[in-house]
Amino acid sequence: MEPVESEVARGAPSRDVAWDSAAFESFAAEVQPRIVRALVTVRGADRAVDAAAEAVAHAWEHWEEVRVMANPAGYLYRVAQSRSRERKRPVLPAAVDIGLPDVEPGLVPALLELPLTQRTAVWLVHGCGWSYAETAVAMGASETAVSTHLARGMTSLRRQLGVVS
Amino acid sequence: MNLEQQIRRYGEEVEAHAIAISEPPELPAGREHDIAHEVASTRQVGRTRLLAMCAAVVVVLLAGIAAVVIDRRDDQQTLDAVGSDPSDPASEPAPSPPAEPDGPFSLWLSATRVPLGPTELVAVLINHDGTDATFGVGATVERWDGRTWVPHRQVLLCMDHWSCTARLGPLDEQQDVPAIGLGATVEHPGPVERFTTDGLDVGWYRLSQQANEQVVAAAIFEVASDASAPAPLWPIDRPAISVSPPLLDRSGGSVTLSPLVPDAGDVSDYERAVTGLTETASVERWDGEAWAQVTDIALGQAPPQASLTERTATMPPLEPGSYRLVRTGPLGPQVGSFWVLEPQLPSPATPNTDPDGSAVATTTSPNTTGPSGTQPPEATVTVFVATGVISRGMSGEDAVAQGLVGPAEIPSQFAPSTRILTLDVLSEKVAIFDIAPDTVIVEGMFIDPTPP
Repeated sequence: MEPVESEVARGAPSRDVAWDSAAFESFAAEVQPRIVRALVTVRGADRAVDAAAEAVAHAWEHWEEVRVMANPAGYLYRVAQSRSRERKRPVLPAAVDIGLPDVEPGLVPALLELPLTQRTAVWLVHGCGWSYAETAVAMGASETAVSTHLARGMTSLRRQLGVVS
Repeated sequence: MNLEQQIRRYGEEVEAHAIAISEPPELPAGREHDIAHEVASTRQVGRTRLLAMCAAVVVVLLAGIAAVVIDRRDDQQTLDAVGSDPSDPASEPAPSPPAEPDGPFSLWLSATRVPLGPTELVAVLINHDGTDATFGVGATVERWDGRTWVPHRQVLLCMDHWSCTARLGPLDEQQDVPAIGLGATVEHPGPVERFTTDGLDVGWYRLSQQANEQVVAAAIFEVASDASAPAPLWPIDRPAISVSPPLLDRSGGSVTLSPLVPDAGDVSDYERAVTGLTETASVERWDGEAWAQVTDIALGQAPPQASLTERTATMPPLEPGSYRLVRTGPLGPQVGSFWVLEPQLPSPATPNTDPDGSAVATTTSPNTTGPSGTQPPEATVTVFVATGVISRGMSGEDAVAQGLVGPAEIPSQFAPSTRILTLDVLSEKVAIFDIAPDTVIVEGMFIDPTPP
């Protein structure tokens, strides 16, 4: 095994430690809340933060790869999913309990009734404001598939809630 | 607010709520690195491990060699100096793949977690929404590299009457694909297609078949060193039984038994194979280690238009699992495999994993509580089920009027997404096939009658 110092001496590219730290902190501050929000309908509000933290830790461990990704949030969403225990029924607060009296009371239960892929598509696109492309990466699916899941999910939600708009 | 806006508003608030309820306790003073603090401050589970990892990173940074540690541009000597390459799939367990998205078709597999070595599996096409598509037996096997699916093998799946087990071959191997069309309807799964996982290393794999119409049916399975062997399949080197349909729900149903005769020349070979066989069959369930008899059933003559060598049977309600039918005769027993599933035919396989990456059952008891036993029972939803046999052609109005359709509560996890929500949707429609008691009524079971 060759001493590390010799690598530096040979002029191996060195990472700017200060820049990396700042870049990662900035990245984590931006992406972690997005992942938390994206995960709440599959892991529940109480577990989403832990799962997102797992993903951010993974990002730090693989920062060289993650930082050049076109859609790191989508990738880390999948990491978070695979590293946290799935809940058959995530726990979510009622809309009224978090200060949203004008949100349809049946919305959250209806959302949780959706099949996982439909729920994920609806949540990431409408609940999190992710683009179809970002959602497709997160779901490991094509944008067409995302569109299909989203349409089916919204149709089902409207039917369950008896709303037309 | 429209529905989309309501979802958005809820998303905004629930994010803040989730973070608020997970606020960590005060961290010890004197933390040396903001990154470790930032990451660990939002993590409760496994926090100790994270702190250790971050502390190690800090040490590395302070030692001035962090650039060498993680710079992907370094040469192999650098990697050797610090350990394994984080991009090397062998250096750490790859995260499990995401679940397959819902689509018009999927593949059902007789096992989704198999041990290393030659394990024979059956794949069955499942049609979820009535899409018309024709598949061939050609399929691809992709391997999950931790981030994406990578083409790995190709295979020509074996139909049961071919008396073979398909082997996975290299991607560049020239294959002569038999000109055969496979399909499935919502009511009837496709035929069994058999293959072996021999040659696959530990990891996650996706088996995919593409239809002429470009529709893809896929299933995910895991090869794991600690996985249990699934139920053995029927033999391919001696007469056996093809059970159709191969998948039943737990309410049972009618099946057809057809002889499978290796190297059969003409119909006389089939007749000879079934001569003297019992007109009853033993139904046996795989208990994980051996076959255990469940019951005996009587066999009936096949319909007039069918082969004289075929038999029919009505399966009683059975628990989900792997089953075989056994008929005995002068040449020895003949067996056929079939499987009993939960009421809803499966969606694309979901690689549920626990934090250690090991697979957990995807079918759970309807009343399962969480690991701690503190979670509330599963929620139920109201569905409409057949309370008696609804004959093919019966109108929806008659079925309702005769009390053959009624409400029932089932765990929400088993509720088909296409279940009917009101009885109104049955009006002016007729049953497309015989509907067995306890069957959840879903869209497509009743259709507009064909104009005269």
